[in-house]
Amino acid sequence: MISLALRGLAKSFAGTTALAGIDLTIAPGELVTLLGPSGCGKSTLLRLIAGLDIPDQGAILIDGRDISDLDVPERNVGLVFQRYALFPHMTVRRNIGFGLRVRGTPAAETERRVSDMLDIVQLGDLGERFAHQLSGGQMQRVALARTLVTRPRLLMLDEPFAALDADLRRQMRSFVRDLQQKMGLSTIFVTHDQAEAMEISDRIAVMQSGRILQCDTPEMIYHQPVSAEVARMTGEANLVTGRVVSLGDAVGLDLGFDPVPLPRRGLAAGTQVLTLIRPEAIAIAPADPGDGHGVIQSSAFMGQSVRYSIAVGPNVFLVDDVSTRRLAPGQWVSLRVSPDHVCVFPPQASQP
Amino acid sequence: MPSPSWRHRAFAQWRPALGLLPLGVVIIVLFGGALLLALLQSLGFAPWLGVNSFPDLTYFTTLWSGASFWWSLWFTLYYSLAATAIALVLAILLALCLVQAFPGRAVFGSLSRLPLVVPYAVGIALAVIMMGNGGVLSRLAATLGWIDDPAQFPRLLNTHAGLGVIAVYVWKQLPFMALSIHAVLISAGREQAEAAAVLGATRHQIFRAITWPQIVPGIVSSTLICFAFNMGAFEAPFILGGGFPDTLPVLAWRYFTDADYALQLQGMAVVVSIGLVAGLLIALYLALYRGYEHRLGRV
Repeated sequence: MISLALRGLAKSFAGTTALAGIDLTIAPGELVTLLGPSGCGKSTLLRLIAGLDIPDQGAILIDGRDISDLDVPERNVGLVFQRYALFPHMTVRRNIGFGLRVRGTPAAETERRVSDMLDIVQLGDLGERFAHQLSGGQMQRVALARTLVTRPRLLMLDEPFAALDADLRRQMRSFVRDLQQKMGLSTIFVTHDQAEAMEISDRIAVMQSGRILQCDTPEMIYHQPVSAEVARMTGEANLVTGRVVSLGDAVGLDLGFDPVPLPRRGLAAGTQVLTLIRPEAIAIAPADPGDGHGVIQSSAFMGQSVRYSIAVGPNVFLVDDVSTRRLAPGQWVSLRVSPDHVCVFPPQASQP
Repeated sequence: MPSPSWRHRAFAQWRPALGLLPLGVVIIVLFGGALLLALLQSLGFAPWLGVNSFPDLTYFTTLWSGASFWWSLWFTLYYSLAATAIALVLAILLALCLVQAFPGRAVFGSLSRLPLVVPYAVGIALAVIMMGNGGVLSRLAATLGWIDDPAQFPRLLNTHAGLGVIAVYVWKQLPFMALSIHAVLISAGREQAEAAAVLGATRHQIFRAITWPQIVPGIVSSTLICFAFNMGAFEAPFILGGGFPDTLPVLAWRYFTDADYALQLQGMAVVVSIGLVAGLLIALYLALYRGYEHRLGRV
């Protein structure tokens, strides 16, 4: 198991900044996900670590040693490409054994390790097939096996499940996570799917425009994002402006319903602040016309919950209600939020 | 009675083939017809020339029994294969170069493709200007003091070494081959080579294990076209070649332009011989290629 440290990594392409000073540390055996929209620099970061592109500035340290000057084959890092990049003219066995063969591993050992890896990725009987004879999930496993068989110091997966259907994605996520934990591999996982990132990661680095906006545990990223951008990128978010009100010795937040006591001190009454409340954190109850806090504008059945759009004064709240009832648009409702589920952004970050 | 929908389906099925009919007729009549006539003439059927001894193998036995024919065949194969091989090596290097990013790549690429639009005759003239005794190279060598006088410059043209012939073929065909290989490389993308590099492969290993199998289809198609052309071309060997014994196409041309019209049948035997040799070699080449593709699991 190795640690990885990126120090001020920057890269531009023809004057366009792809990465603007990335600092990131990955602990041994940790899985860190780079989460962000297309073009935010996630794949570029992987390519710099792999040596496929050269950084303009910064250093890449593996176990404290700068590998920035090493050629690609000397880095011994594994990269699974988004479209697998399997060699179409080789069988599954030869694909998986490629990295061992080019490193001069004896043939008998290569065969043994390839067979072991085929068993691990549960493709034992498909060794003689060619890539075009495999399904998407099987190709994904071959790509993973081909990388893992060389025992890379660091595993990098570039949106590896993007081409798979939803069911297969779920299977492969859990398969990859189990394998990564069993092998204790330090791993960087790239995705733009926040649910995937939440499920698979020890930590998530949320990226935008070549920068890491926040790097933290999935729980902290989801419940305590540092900015509205991070909140938006990590799930459905009610980003509403509320007014700080005095509640005796404490302060609370007026969002158009009963003031929510604020866990955070240091806010003066009367201050306008941007607030995040996730849709599932709001409880609703039917109310008589005029007695409730807001009116249901629309509803949509989501399977495990019903999503309501509720107008409360000037704000519109999304609310995920897990009860089996279905309230009709026009219904008055009262709203309640636990203070633990309210995230108030500091005034300087309160830019919706 | 067939239903209208059946007729409609049948028409829809055959419509693409019907669209190709005019082209098919041209190919069958012009190419197939000419081939048949050439074969018939080489076997002694040319009543319009007052000759009809069909079927008669005399023209072939006469041709093949002469030592000069085998020399001609050797020179034809040598020029064709050498030019194709040299152009191929240079084309691979050029195509690999053109997929890299470097300043001025677009200009370099355009310049390298220029010979594609220049006629062969111009290439032959350029070879005379550059490589002939008294040409640019000889004068340059004299200017640089390598030789005392341009006349001392080694003879490059009109020898059986065929340097001028090969140079013209390479000059003209290199960009064509490079274009075919470059197109294959572009469509294959960089990901497989990058994946191989990350797995630990050196540049040499990547070329051998990844790039070569990718570009083989482009190589086969372009080398086939160039080789077949070289086997049948007569202008360059006629002007830049070493004279008797000539290449087979030049030999055929001499028979066709002889005052004795009956020798046209002998010329046809030469043409058919060229077709046979080229056809056999191409069939062997394609068989080897098919075996290679089969081993790679692509067929």
